[in-house]
Amino acid sequence: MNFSNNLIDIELLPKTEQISYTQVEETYKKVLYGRYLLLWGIPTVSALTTSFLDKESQIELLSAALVFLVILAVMLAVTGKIYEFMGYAIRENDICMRRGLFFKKYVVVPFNRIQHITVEQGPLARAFGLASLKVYSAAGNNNNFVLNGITKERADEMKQFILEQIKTDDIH
Amino acid sequence: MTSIDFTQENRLPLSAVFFLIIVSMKNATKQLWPVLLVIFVSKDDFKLFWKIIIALLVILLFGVIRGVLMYRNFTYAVKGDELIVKKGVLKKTTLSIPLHKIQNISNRQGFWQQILDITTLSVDTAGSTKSEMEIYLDIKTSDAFKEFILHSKKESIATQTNESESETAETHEPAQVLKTYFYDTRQLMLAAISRNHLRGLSIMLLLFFSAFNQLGESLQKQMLEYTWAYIPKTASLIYWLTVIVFILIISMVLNFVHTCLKYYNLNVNLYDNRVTYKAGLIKNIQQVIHLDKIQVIVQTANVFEKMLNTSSLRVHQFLNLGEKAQKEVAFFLPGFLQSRQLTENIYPEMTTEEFSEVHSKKNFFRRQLYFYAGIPTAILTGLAFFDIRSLYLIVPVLAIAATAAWFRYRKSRAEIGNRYVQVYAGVFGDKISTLKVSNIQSVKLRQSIFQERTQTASVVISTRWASLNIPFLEEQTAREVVDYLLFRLEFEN
Repeated sequence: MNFSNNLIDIELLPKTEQISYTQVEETYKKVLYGRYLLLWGIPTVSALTTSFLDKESQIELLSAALVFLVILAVMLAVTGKIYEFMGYAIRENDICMRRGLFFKKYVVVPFNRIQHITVEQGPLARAFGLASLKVYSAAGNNNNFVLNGITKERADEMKQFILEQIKTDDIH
Repeated sequence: MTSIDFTQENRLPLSAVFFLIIVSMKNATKQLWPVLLVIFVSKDDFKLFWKIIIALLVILLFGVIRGVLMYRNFTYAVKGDELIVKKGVLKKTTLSIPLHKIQNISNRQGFWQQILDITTLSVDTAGSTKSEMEIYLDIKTSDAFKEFILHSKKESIATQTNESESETAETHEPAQVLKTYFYDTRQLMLAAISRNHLRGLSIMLLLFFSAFNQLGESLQKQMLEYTWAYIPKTASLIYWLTVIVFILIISMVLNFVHTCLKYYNLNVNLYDNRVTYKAGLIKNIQQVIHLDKIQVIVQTANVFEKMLNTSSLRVHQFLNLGEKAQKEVAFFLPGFLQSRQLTENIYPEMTTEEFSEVHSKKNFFRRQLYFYAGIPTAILTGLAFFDIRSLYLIVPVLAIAATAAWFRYRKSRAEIGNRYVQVYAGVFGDKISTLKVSNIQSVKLRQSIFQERTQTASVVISTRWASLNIPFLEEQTAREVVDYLLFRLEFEN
C-alpha cells in the first residue's frame, strides 16, 4: 500500500451541494396523509364524540378537539413541502439523503462505514407498495439513515447495490 | 515467572476457594433476601438473635459447599489456539475461545480479592457485551497467564496469516514503555480538590431535604421541634446559608475521600501500541486499551480545575464490533496536570498537524441566550403573579444567562486537520474532544428554518462512541467541512 498525503485543493472536492436528489415516490404523499390522519384524526374524533356524551366537561373536550384539528390541518398543509424536500442520491462512494421541514437534515453515509441494511414495510406503506430502506453505520443509535417512500423493488435494488459496494470495500 | 504449564488443565490457586465461598455466599444472600426478610419479620417463638445465627450458618454452609464444588470443577487451559475453561457443578459448561478472537484481557481486584491476594482475569471477545469468562488467579499466575495468552495469540495469528519469521521474532521482545504517568500525592490532592463539588452538593441537599420531610411526616408528634414546624416562617437568609455551607463541607469531604480512594496510585503506562491504566485502593481497576481502538479523547476542565491549571481526561474506547454488542470503556484521569501531553503522546502526529479553524457564528450566541434565559424567565414571570419580588430575580438570571451564552459562543469552535479533528466547547469550563478522522462513521448537516434564514448550519460528526456537534457554522463553511471530511473518509482509510 503506497501512502500519499498530497495537498488537496478545496475547490476540487466533490461537493454535496451539487447533488441532484431523486424525489421519493409520489404515492408517499398519500402515506404521509394517512399517517397524519391516523395520528391526529383519531384523537379529534374521539374528543368530539365524548364531548357529546359527557355534558359536564363539554367545553374542555371541544377545545381539545379543536387543538387536534388545527394540528391536523397544519400537518396536512405542510405535507407537500415535506414531500418536496425529501430526496436521496447514490454517489460513487456514499449514499446521501435529505429530509425534514423545520429542521433540515443532510445525511451522508460512506459505503465503507456501512454495517448492515434492512428493508422494512409498514402496513400503511405496504398498501401503496412502498418500503423503507434503513442503513446502519456503526455510529450511535440516532444516526440511522432511514429512507422512506421508495418502491419495494427499488429498495431491494438499492440494498443489493450497496451490499455489493460493501463487499468490495473493506469495512471499518 | 511461575512454572505452571498452561497448556495442561489447571486448577485455580487454593486461595481462590475462599473467594469462591465468599462469592457464593453473596449470591445466596442476594437471592434469598425476600425469604430472609419474611423470616425475620414474621412473629414466632424464636428470638431474633437465633434467627440471625441460623440464617448465617445456613448461608455459610451453602457457600462453603458451593464454593468447594465450584473450585473442584473449574479448570482452565490453552490448547492449540483455543482458551478452554471448564466449569459448573450441576450444569457443566465448557467455554472455548479462539485466541485470535480475544479482544481484551483485564484484571480486576475487589476488596476481598486484595485481602486474599488474587485477581479476576476477565477475557472479552467481540461476541457479547458481558465479559465472557472470568478466572480467579493469584497475581503472579495471572500476569504469567496473560503474557502466555497474548504470546500464543500472536503466534496463532502469525501462523494464520503466514507472516515472515522475522516479524514473529520481533513480537517476542517485551513491549517497551514509552511514557509513564503517575499520580503522586500532590497530583492526587489537586484531583481531589478540583472535583465538581456543586454536583455533590446538589445530591446531598436533595437527600437532606427529603430525609427531613420524611422525618417530619413519620414522627410528627415526637420530633416536632426538629422539623419544619420548628423552623420559624421568617427564618433568615443566614440560617439557610449556614445549612447549605454545612452540607457543602460534608459533600466536599466525602468527595475528597472518594476521589483519593478511587484514584489512589493511578498509573498510566504508554506502550507503542497500547495504554495500560491502573488505579484504586479498595477496588483496583486495571485496563489495557489498544491505541487503534480509542475513539475519542475528551479533555474537560471545570472552574476549579481551570484555577489549578489541571484538567480531566477521558479516553473512550470501543471494543465490540458486533451489530448489537456495543460497549464503551473509558478510563478517566481527574484533575490531571499533563492531559495535553498524554493526548499528544497517544496521538503523536497531532503535534505536526496543520489545523484549519472554524468558528461558530454570532447567531449561536443568540440561540444560546434564548436557550439559557427562556425557561427561568418564564418561570419567574409566572411567579411574579404570586410575589412581585421575584421580578427582581430576572435581572441576575438574565445577566448569568447572557454571560454563559457569551462564553459558550466564544468557546465553540473546531479545528480540522488532515488526520485529526478537535472540537472545542464549554460554558464556564472547557471541553476539548480530539478524534481521528478515520474513526468518523458518518457526517451530517443540520439546518433549522431559523438557521436557513441566517445562512448558518450545524455539522454533526458521529463516531462509534457518540456524536460531536459543531454548531452554527457559516453555511458555506459547514458544507466545505462536510465535503472535506467525506473526502477523507472515502479515499483514505
